Amino acid sequence: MITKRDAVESPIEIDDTLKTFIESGVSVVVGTRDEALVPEIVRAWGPQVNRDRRTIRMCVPEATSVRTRTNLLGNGRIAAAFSLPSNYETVQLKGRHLRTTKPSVEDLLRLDRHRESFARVNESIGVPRARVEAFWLRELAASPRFVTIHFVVLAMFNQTPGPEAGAPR
Amino acid sequence: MSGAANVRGTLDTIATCFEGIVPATICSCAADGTPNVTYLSIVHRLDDWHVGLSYQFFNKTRKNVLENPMVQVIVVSPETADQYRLDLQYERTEVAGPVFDRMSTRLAAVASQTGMSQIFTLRGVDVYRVLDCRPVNAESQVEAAPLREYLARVESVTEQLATCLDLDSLLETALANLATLFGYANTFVMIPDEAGQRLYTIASRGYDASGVGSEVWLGDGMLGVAAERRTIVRTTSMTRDRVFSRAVRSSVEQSGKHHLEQEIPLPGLPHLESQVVAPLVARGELLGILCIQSDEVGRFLVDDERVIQIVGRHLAASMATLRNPPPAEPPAVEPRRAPRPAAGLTSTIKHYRSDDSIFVDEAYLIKGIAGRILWKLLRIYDTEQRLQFTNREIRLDETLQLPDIKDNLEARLILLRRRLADKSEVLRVVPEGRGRFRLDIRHPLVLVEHP
Repeated sequence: MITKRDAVESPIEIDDTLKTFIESGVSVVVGTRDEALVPEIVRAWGPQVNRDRRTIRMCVPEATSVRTRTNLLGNGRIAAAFSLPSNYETVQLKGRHLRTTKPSVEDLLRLDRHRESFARVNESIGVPRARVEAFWLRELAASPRFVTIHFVVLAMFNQTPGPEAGAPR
Repeated sequence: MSGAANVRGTLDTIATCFEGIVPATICSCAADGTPNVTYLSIVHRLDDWHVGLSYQFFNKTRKNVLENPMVQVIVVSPETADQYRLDLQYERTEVAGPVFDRMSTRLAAVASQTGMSQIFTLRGVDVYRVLDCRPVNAESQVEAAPLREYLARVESVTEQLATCLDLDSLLETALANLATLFGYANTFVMIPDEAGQRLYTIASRGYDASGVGSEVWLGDGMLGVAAERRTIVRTTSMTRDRVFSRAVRSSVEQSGKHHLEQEIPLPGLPHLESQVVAPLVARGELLGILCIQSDEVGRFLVDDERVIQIVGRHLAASMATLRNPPPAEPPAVEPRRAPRPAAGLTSTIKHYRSDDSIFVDEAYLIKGIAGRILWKLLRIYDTEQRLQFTNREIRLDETLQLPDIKDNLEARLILLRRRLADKSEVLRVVPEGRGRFRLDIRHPLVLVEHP
């Protein structure tokens, strides 16, 4: 749900092209910070652009996202980078945390589909599936459960490497 | 925070995380509290308490760290797939010195290989103090990486090299030992041409075709840049380097501000992923490069780089010693007259004086000094029917106008011998003991000279 404050901060609409990109086999990382401005990173899976085209949901491992979730509850500031390993096309979204929920069945199914797409993209550039699967297994060993975080998008940036990286999208 | 005491696992125990095999991520935070998260090709471990990040473009991360020095990086072990969080504090930017030079050379090598020399320049190395290093899964144990026991094998290689009496056996021994003792199956050595502008392959091992004679320009591509800067260059994932460069290329081309060079094909393996190129330098002079290649991502790590650096230095020192004429080189032997090969099939050998190129039955064979020497041998054979020669008579033959005696005659003869073995059914140069060789001619020749 978009609140009154988010409306003041002007949520940005995500178009079809960007939605397709965000929901493809991209690598996803989430950045937050605490009250002392010390950053924290966690990897995310199964991102989805909601029907309103202004909010996004994605899963993060529960056990390894404690500080991330504390930061989100404390100040709500969130950045998420989506990068396609096969060509390094990268987009960063910045926004404000809305809520954290238990994952729905759809969230978990989407998470599995995302992992599969991610493996296929990596295979296309010669990264063996076994290496990607080992990565998941280690993550699952660390945190077998996930939570879903929801945020509203307030800014978008092109982050594909190069001199133009960081330009508003 | 002062730092060191909080580092639970020293960076040395997770050394492979800093090989650039799996991309890292970094999160910084602006003074207004807005986080910024992005990907990094590689995080460089400088010592147990510091890491370095390359500064090429003035981006948001850099702007943020100048405002707020605290960042977090996640690195991934390519061996175990474990992730590690590093809390870092920006300390300074280095724009000179050994760390800068090393990173700058590697960047220049990749840039040259991928046609991005105008874009990829290192402005500085941002140095960060490591405040904490911990597994993302706090239960994971940080274990010391197994030490790779290379010392005994390095000793064995250098012992073998010390027994070699000529350049040919020196190169063969070096490459054979690298294969048998270290499993480096694909290796080659290149040396500079007489003008010092190009490198050409003089010995190789583990390739379908020997590639002897193939060339690169000094300063071009990973091999040429390593040679020109006399600095070792290692890559662990050529595909990732290329994908990254193409991403930047695409962005630059869209901006229309630069005209970029083309990518350069890498010599050697068709699906090359890992490579180490060591310059062969002795007495301050570049004698060539030693290169090992693999089609496996992350095949060569820091220890492999050290092996190639040490073996390369021994190889260079031995090459420098061997290229001085041996004091007791045998005198010219009484020439043995050879019967002319049986009539029937003939081959036409053409020599172009302009560049000393030689063509056998219209197929290019060789050029430069090696071509000039071959033509001289063939003329002697034609007039005297002599087939046996000594290095000494070639070296002393003024009509050949060989460059400075420091230029390695033996290297040219090895190149000639291997090119003939690769490219010609008609001619062979066969070694006959120290400082002597024989010309084998399979059928009658017609010699044609062109301006």
